[in-house]
Amino acid sequence: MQDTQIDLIKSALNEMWRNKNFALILFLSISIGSLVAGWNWPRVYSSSSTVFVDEQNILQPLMEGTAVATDVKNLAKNAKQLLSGQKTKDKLLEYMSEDVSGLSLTEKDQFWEKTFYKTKIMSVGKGLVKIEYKSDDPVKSQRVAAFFTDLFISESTLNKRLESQSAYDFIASQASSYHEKLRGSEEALKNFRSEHLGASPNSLNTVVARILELQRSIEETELEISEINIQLENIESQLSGEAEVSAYLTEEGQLQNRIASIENQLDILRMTYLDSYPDVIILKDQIAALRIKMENVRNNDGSKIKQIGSLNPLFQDLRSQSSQYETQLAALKTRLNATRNLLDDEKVRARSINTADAELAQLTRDYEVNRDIYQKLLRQRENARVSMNIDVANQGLTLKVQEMAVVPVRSVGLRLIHIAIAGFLMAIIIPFGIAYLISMLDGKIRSNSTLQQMVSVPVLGVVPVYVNKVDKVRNSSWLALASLCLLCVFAAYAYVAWLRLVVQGS
Amino acid sequence: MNKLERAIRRTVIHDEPFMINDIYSDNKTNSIGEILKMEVEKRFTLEELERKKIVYQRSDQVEALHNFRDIRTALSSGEASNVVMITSLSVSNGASYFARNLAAVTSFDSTKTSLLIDCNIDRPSVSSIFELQDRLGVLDYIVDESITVDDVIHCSGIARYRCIPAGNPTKESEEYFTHPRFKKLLTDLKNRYRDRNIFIDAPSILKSADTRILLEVCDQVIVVVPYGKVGQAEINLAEKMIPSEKFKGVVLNEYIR
Repeated sequence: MQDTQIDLIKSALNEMWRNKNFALILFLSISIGSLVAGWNWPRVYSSSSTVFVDEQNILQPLMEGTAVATDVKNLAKNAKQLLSGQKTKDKLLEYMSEDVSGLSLTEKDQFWEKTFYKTKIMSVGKGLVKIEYKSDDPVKSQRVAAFFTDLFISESTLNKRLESQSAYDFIASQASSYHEKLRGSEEALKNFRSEHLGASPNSLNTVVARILELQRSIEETELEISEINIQLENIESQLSGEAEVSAYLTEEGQLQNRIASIENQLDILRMTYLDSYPDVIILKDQIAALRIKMENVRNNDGSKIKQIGSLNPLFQDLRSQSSQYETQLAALKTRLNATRNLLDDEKVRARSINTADAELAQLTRDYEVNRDIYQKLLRQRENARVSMNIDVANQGLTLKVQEMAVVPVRSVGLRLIHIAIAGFLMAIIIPFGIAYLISMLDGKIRSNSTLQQMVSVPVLGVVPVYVNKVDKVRNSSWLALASLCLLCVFAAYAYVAWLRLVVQGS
Repeated sequence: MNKLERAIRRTVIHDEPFMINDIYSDNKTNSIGEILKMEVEKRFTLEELERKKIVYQRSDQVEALHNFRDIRTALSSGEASNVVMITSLSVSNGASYFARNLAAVTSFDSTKTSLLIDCNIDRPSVSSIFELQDRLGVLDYIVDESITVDDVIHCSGIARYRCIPAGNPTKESEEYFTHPRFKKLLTDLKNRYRDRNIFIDAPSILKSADTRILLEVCDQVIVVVPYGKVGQAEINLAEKMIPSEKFKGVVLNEYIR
């Protein structure tokens, strides 16, 4: 590969040498031609200005969180948009009136379009907008660039101010509408409160507590009632077993008691004395007499009682207790009924409180939402007012011309020197390139190795070039001529450079 | 030619001292009559040779000399193969230059003599290079039966180097090389000068029918490939036309006028 490349280069150089006159003519025509082309190349002058758009203005730190600085993003695009309107067109046509005088409307329109689309507006770094205009006239370049710069600054400021104003207006209208809404909900809440006086967030709890208390009271009362009932039953049962009058029982008892005590005495005496002992006999008599008496008592039951009977004290006592309990029972029953009525009332009240609570919650929520939004809007309105005031005072957006558009001294783009140098290089490269391409592409035999690959018979050798004295002289004179041509080319370049740099000064 | 004639002739032709030995080494084939016909031979000076681009010994064209010698060595020698035809693949490509230089290097060897026959009828070069204008040549021999072989062999101006120019074309120029006289000329030359190396400067094999006729009479063929003028197609064509037993090889000729 390396060898083929070297072979190719050798072949190309060889080919060039073989066609040296053609190569020389090519070199001369390209180098001189490019010089002429460079000389006549239209010169383009570019004038540009850089505007610094300061978003981080001096007021911002002071108004942190209060005033919202309006956004200036995508500067170049915004600027282009800003300057593309009819207003700019009119101003430009007025500004360039001497250029457009005598032009028809369509031509003016074309003039505007051409000027506008030739004006480059681009972002060059943070907050920097570059406005550039290129034309063949340096003064015109400067004028157009300056025009667009001035217009950009004034339009931006105006735009910002209008933007702030409209933002303020919008927020203010919103705030007032919410003010109305807030007042409506305040009114509704007031009305409700006056309708439902007891309605308070705690009233339900109170009612519930009351209901619980009442229920407990009912239970207690019921308990008491059942207790009293039991006692009454007891007393009734006692009363049924007790005689209203206790006389009969008392006489017989007395007799028996007497008999018993006498029998007791008798027993004691009998332990000491015989039955014949007088005391014993007396006692026996007494017992017998008492027994007869008791027999009599028993036989004459009814009449004897009436005569002898008196009221039973226990019966009396029980009777009074029973009536006392009955009174108590009646009182308790009355109380139970009253409590029950109260409980029912409280339940009704609790139900009405629930309904009112839901309504109150609704009204309160409306009120709170409206209040919050209104407060927020009030704050925003004040922010907007400050922003607007900042913009009105031209403090919000600092547009500073960093670099003024000046009348360019030197042309931009392809200049004579570029074209001339490129031309000179091409003049060297093209002849060699042609020779190289020819040797590479025409498939002709130019080297021993290529020949060897192509034939089946041996390659006996290479017949070299025989350079005799005549040839040498011819070659030297050709080289002298070529050198002379090269010198002439250099001289031409130098002369043109002198003309351009010294005579024209650009 | 006897020994004396030859000796005289040699001394006239050659000025190199070693040529004295030649007189004794090669003394059979020459006749006395021949020497009488010989004009006093001119001799080119080294400057003239250089101007004519003909290599000579101790020339400063070291590379050319070396390459021509190499090519010469590659050719077979011997009585049966002493006719070498040099042809080319396109017109005007230095085949004649190659042929006369090949003949020249051959004549460096004191035991060898070379004869260059210019069969390039359309573009003859021998007569002008060796300053043999108006001398009889191949064409004259073919059309005029009174002309003998010796009449057309001329001194080239270089030792042991003879040549036959193309001659003067007549109005009856047709297929010269099919003419029996041409065959006779070659046969005579081959037979009479067995020690001679005969080089035929033929036109392009692709362009001329003459060359194809010449193929039959020659023993070896060398094809000159001109630098940067031909490609694979021409090479293949030439290979097809030349009998492989005669086709000795190709040379790449960088010398193109």
